[in-house]
Amino acid sequence: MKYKKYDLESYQIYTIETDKFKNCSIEIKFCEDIRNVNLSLRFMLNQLLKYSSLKYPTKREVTIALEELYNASFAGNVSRGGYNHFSNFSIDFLHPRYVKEKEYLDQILAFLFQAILKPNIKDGSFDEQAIQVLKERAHVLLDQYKEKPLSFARKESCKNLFKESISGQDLYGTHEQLENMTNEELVLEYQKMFQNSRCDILIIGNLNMDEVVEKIKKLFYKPSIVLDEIPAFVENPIFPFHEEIKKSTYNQTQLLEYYQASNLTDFEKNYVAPLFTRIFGNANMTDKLTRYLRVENSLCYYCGSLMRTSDSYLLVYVGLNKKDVKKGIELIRKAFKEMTKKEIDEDYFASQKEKYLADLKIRDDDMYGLIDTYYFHEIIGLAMNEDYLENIPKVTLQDIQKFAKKFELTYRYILEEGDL
Amino acid sequence: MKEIILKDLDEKIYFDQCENGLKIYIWVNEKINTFKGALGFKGGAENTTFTVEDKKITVPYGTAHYLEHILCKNSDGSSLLGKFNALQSYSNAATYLDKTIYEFVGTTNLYENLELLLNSIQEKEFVEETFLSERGPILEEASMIKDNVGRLAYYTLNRELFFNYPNRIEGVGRVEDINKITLEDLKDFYNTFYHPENSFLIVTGKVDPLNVIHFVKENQKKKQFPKWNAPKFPRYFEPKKVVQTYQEIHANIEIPQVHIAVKIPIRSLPKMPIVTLLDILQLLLVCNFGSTSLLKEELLDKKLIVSLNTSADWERNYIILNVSSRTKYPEEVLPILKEKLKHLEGNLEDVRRKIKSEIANLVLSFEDPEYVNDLLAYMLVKYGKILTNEKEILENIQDADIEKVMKKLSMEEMSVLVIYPNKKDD
Repeated sequence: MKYKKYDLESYQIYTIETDKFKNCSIEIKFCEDIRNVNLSLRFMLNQLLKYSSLKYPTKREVTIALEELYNASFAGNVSRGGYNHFSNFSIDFLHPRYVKEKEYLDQILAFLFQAILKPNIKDGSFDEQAIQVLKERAHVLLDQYKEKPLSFARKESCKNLFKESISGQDLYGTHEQLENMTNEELVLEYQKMFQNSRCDILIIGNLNMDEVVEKIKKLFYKPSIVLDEIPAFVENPIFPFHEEIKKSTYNQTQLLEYYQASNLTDFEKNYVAPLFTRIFGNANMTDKLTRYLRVENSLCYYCGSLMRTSDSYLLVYVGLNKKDVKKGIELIRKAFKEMTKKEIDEDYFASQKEKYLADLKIRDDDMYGLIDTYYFHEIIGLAMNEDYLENIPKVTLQDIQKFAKKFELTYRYILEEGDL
Repeated sequence: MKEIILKDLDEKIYFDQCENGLKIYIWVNEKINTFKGALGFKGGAENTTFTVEDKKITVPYGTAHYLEHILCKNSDGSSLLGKFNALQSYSNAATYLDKTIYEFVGTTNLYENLELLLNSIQEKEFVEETFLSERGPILEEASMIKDNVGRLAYYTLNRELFFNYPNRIEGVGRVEDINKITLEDLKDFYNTFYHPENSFLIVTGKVDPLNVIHFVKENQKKKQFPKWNAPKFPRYFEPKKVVQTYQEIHANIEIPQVHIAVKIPIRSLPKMPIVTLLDILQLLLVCNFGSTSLLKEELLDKKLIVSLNTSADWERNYIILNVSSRTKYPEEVLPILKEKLKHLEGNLEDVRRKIKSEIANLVLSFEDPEYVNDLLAYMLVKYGKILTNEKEILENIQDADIEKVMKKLSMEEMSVLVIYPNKKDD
């Protein structure tokens, strides 16, 4: 695999040349400090560019154009890492050797950049009908989490705990923001995104990257130079412990606990955290949570933990019967307490380190994982595979215990099964 | 070892069979690190009544799934998945209506993983205590599934469509079924279906086919299996009519859903291979209801729907066409969708473009060892063989074939399911 970065002054291109895959991917990322972004506007803009352009004004026409390109897939979404807000646009396509048209790569690039550079703005406005249809869809997306009990519990609890923080906000914004946005604001948001965002292009596939970059230079120009470094971690205040119990009409009770930490070191975030999660709870049937809750006490079908180092918290979740909540709480407490003491088998710890390193090879087979890892290493210093290979073996049991002791239980959320 | 060539895809499957009947299928991708191994059995959740050597056996719904859970436990009650974890692999198991699959994914210790998979599933010691301790997690899984609206819709529609087919009950079983299952039921199911003659091993990814086959054959030689008596299944007489034409239910959803299913006897359609028939029907549905259809565009523009999806499935002697939509206005949308179903159009330009897209998808599908493994297992159980000419089938679909199918399509037997959100008190 050949990694290369091209500095084009107002934007950077990160490439990985590899013959591992039959398809190729090009992604454009616009990154801005989330504290300066109107989330609803940015999401709607993203969707407008995804589903329409001057050349292909409707979603139907966009889809037909993509089918003509051998079912190339054009995606648009928004994401967040710490205070970094990303508006992403990507196109995945067959490697040109599988198609007969010699101009296939040029057609792909032309499609991608017309979508970004030639939005469907006429007389200073986006197509109003398209906005209305996408608003409707966005309203639905905003509420979709309510259809699954665990998603509902996660989203609601996160909003409750991080009321004042970006950690608790929905990247689609709110119903109210969606309803109140205007066509003019969306046009301004488009200009703002180009003006204020850092722009990066990520390419992976078996392509001659120098040639691709030359083609892109002819198609894409960004007037402003933005190279801001935005914090990749959100430091939230540590809240005093509180508990909430909510009733629902779901068939199963959800028990969630939030553990918050402060002053995590880079070494802990990169190397200790993933090992901690594997031993504590990541549904591999040997972790402490699954052993105590499912294997030894038959309380649940699923349980696990999720480490959000960029927001400095650990989430524990379990779906169980309402009558077993008290016991579930006790068993989670027991599992967590053991992480702070010397109650981790050394052989097991060593095997989890080995497994983590073996999993890096699986990650190497994932096209999107590869290019993302390279990109986030370059812009916010996240670890690359070679960093993991060097540092994971250095993590000790003492590191795990020290790490665990930095966390404290600050919030418990119980979503009870049954009728409202 | 034989090579099964997948025409025009530049791909092949290596095949061999052990003396005891176990079939081995291998697909190689040298460029990646990952491999996947899957041991599959042609027996699943829908097999609740079967006859073995004139003895009729009936087990409760959910038995195949309960057995899958028990086979994923060691005799001391610990998890088998933990042993795969120690070999640095991920492992899982799944019970479908027609098959049960045990699998691992890893990058190292391939042969240790294969040995663990074969030995632990083929040589099972059933322990009462382990059996009892797993009932709790299974009941919780059943509770979790009750909140899965997709599965609720699927099984509810099956009950509306079919009088007798055994796909009408959730594979995990209902609470009352799960509580009835005994260890003897599991043994009956295991002894009937878990025989090498009734199973297949699929290994995909970065592997050496000759070594894998040699290893598996040696492993199988060490084991003794009784002679296999293939189970006989009831012959399901299924009337042409649907059970119920319309039903409304409530669930934990935000936007109402409309599901339409049409039941069409295969013998009423033009005689052609089932794969070709399904391809044509799927193309027709996508052309009429998909993202490039004028109908979907119009319904979205009028804000009448939020989504619109289709599928064409094959269920024994019937083809089932499905159209489903999330809509705030089910009463308005339902007649529009029904009307369109009754008057499908075959825009040949559209069909040609969709075929081109499908071929691209097919080329791309032979890349990921996990996907290819699942695809091969699906073909082996659904079609009884590896399909070797899918690309050719798509390319050879003629306009006349499409017209012939359209002429014979009857949308008379139709079931509708409308799911409304649970009422909430503010």
